[in-house]
Amino acid sequence: MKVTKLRKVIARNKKAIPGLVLLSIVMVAAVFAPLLAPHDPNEQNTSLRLRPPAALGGPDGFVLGTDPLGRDVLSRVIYGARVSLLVGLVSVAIAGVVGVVLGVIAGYYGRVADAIVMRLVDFQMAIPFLLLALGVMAVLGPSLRNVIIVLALTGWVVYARVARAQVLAIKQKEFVQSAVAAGASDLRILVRYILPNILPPLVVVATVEVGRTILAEASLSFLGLGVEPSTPTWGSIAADGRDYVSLAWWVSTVPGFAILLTVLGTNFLGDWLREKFDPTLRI
Amino acid sequence: MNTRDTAREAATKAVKVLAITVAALLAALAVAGCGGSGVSKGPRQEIVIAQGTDPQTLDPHLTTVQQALNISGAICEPLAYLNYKTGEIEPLLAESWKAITDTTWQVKLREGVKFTNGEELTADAVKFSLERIANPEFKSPATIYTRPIKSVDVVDRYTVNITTKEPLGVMPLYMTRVYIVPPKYIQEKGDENFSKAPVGTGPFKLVEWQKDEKVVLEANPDYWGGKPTLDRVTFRAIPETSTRMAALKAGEADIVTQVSTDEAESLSKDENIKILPVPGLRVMFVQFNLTQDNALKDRRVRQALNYAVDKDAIVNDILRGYARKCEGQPLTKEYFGFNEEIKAYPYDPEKAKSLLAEAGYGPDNPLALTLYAPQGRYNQDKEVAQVIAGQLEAVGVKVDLQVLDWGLFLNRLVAKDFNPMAFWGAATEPDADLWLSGMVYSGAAYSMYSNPAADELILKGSKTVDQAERAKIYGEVMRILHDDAPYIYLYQQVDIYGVNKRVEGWSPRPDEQIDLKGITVKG
Amino acid sequence: MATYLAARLGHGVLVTLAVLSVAFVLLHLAGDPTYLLVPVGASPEEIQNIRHQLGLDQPLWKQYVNYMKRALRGDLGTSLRYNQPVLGLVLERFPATMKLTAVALAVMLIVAVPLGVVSAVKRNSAFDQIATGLALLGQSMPTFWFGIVLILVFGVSLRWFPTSGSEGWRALVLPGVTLGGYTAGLTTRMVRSCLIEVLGQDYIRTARAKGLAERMVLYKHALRNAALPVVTIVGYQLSTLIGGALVTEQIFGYPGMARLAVQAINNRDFPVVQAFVVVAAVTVLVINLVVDLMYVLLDPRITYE
Repeated sequence: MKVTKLRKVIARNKKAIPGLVLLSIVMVAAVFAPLLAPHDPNEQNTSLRLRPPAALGGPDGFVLGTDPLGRDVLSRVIYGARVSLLVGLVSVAIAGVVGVVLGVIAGYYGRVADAIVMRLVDFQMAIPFLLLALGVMAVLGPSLRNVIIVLALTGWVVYARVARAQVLAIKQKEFVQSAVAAGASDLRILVRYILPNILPPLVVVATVEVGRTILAEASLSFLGLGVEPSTPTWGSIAADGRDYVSLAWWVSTVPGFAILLTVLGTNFLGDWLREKFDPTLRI
Repeated sequence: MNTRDTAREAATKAVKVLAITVAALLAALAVAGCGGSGVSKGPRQEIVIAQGTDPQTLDPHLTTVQQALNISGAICEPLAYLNYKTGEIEPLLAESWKAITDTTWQVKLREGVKFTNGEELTADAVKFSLERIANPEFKSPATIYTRPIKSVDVVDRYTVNITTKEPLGVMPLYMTRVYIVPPKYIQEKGDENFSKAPVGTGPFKLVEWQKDEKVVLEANPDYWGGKPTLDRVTFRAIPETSTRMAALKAGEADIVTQVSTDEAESLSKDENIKILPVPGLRVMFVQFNLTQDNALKDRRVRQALNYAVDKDAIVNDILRGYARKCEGQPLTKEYFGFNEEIKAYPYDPEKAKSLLAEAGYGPDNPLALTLYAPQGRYNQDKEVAQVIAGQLEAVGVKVDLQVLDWGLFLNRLVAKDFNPMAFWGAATEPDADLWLSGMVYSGAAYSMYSNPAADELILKGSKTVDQAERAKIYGEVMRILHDDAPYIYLYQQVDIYGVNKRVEGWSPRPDEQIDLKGITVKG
Repeated sequence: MATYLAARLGHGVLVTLAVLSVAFVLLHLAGDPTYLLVPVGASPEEIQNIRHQLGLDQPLWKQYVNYMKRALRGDLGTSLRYNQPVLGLVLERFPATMKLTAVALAVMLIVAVPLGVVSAVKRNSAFDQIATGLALLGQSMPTFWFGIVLILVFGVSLRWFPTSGSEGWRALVLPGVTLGGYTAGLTTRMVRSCLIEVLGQDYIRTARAKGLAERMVLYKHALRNAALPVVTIVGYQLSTLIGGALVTEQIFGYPGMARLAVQAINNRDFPVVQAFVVVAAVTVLVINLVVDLMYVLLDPRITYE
């Protein structure tokens, strides 16, 4: 009996499977990194620098080759999953909550609230990313926490703008207008009628933002404003490998592939969520 | 059903439109490709040099950045020329010079030399140039060369006396770094215009400067030393190392600077490219901050750290041999004052451990140190810093490595705000006086060490004019610095240049200066 | 509408001043530029002297007041490195950045709109799957990696385009594709998901039921309604392109504003950075205004009073 029920659930949510599978792989790598990684991610071996993956003639035991310090690329990428996922999820969560709340307030209440929030958006967008990163890193020092702060600070804007635009459009719809006419409280209208209707594009944005954030972390590393060198992240591994693209492609391509898997996973999941959320899309 | 079919039809149409667009784009690309690959490379005497940075000014008095001076130094010239092949300082705009008293140098200028605006080179121009640098309002970063000067006096049209506050043994070397600029031109046009469009006595004239893109120079046909071999030189600024290498491989650049040590090997296999390495003047080290209270106050600890680092592994593995190990002292053999008798601290982790144990550190009470390092500034700097950290960890030292961008790093360095050590490298003119008075002398800009015995010798050396005597004094300083170990002496950086084989008659210099004289382009 | 625009202008000036103030504080927290200006061996007096000339020995609030006073008169100062007025330095690189941004935007739209529309209409078809895959690929490649790969393939191996610089239109292709490629991914998916949503709406069904030609339904009703969130995203992307071209400009040695800003930040050339911030801020404000005005054009139900 139970098995058939489970089958039904799976059948109904078939579209979630690829996303869940991909993200599970990444999650498992992150959680069980010490068990899965064949080497210490920071163990240097200067006489084995930039060796290709074992299958391409590299030394045994280094399945995906070695980096410029002779460290095992596979182990670093497995450990990197921990930090990169943390950076991606935490900054997206912070930025998403802040951005949606501000965007909904701006779109729903309009006038002063709208003006304030939108000027805040303008203000945030007008501060160059690098300047903000440099300022935060100079004051607080380079660390994982501060990277997350920088990314959350630059990330909330997109949610605020999309949420506001959606609210502006939905506010005019009959079902909202009639709820207002019926005397429903603002909170009820927001939660019952508006939020569910503005979520689909926001979910799409959020899933995309996880990838963007992981990549932004790579840009910070590229500019020398990333996490400490002893902390492997996909972004920092790829950034460190950029001088070696023509000599040792695996150093930057393997973490790039890990980012691709994660982006694919979050997007598949996002697509599935969007269809779940929005009843009009079930054809 | 019906509607969906029509939707499908519309979509099919859209796909067709898209396919046509893509095809058109590809065709455009292909046409563009054909147009571009056939850049004619006749025997025209023109070369392109790609460096890492664009000059921020073409005024040779407003910069000490060698990449900028490579350009403005082809337009303006100094009094003398340091020939690295012979080690001699040769006449350039000055025909001769001699010390007429302990503190006065008399300089005779070459006669009949003209700036490209027609102005003649006279003793007034020398006086003007030196005073221009020294003027505090002008904010020249090159004041190090004028600081010891008390007065500049014009003796006659082609003779000038330079009087220093104290006897100055390195005066001829300074004369290779002070560029002579045209006084009338600058007075008429102003400093700002001069920094955009300088004129000088040099072998090349400025044609155009597109900021951050390129600076184009052409031969000065009236050059006093005869028309240069090259007709045209373009300097390009390509900051990213991989891209600079790509420009060389694609034949867009003929000489590129700062080839990475890893790329050098693969580039040398390219049949059109030759790799020219030259040991540079930059000495890499880990500097200990001894102005603060820390574990490194104990000399045994400092020596232990010197034994703990495997210099050979860094030089041979990380830098692929494009570096030279330092011989246990801050100077290399290119510098005047190098002591040949001193040898490097051998790699001896056991000795390091026992010295640390003597100083009271062990597995139960490990020594914990923070190491600061810049990134993107020196060859493989971040990698080397990580290797040093790893090797120190191997003898039981806990290392917290902080890699900073150059600006943040330098701020900490000059404010002496790092505790207790930093990995970086310094280069000066190749004379012990300059290195030691900036890096070692108590209280100097980059000194984080104080040793009265060393200070006394450094002061004595700078006032001594007799070169043999100076060499002996600096040799003693090297001995003190070896034993007292205020640094981990690492290696001398090798600068690597990539050159297209059609370029002949050029060789790199250890001071990163690019000499354009005598370069020819093969057909 | 006139009052709305006047209010926006007023807000714009305030935002610019606020941005300038934050930039001032952030920069001064990021360190003292004096040390990067003096040569090895400068004496403490000389360092002090330069600091005094630059006014850096004064308390921060005083420096701020002086700076803002001059800024309000339109004088943003002189570069510490170039010894030239900073606004000119930034503005002379503005056209190059705009050119690159325009190319990137064109690449993005040429790729994203057709891909997005077709994927939405032919939902779950093979075309849709491939387009989605491409979009995700674009979104998940680090810009620097993509740029270097393009240089190695099209600059070095095929020699179709120059590896770097900005001379001629061919030099714009690789940086334009690098910059546009990433944003194209997000935009493709946005176009697709918005259009799918709109296609499921009642009025589209009504339009179809009325027997309107499918093309009319798609272009006149569906695309127009899907445009709203897409315009938001494009506007957002555009301002990221301007501020965020720095990695691309760095990789391709492209002589734009962002590269100047990166150099200036590394050199702690504060006046240049501040001028860059002002120019970037004004540009972003103008873009946001245009985006907001486009809402009105696209959806007559939205009004600004």
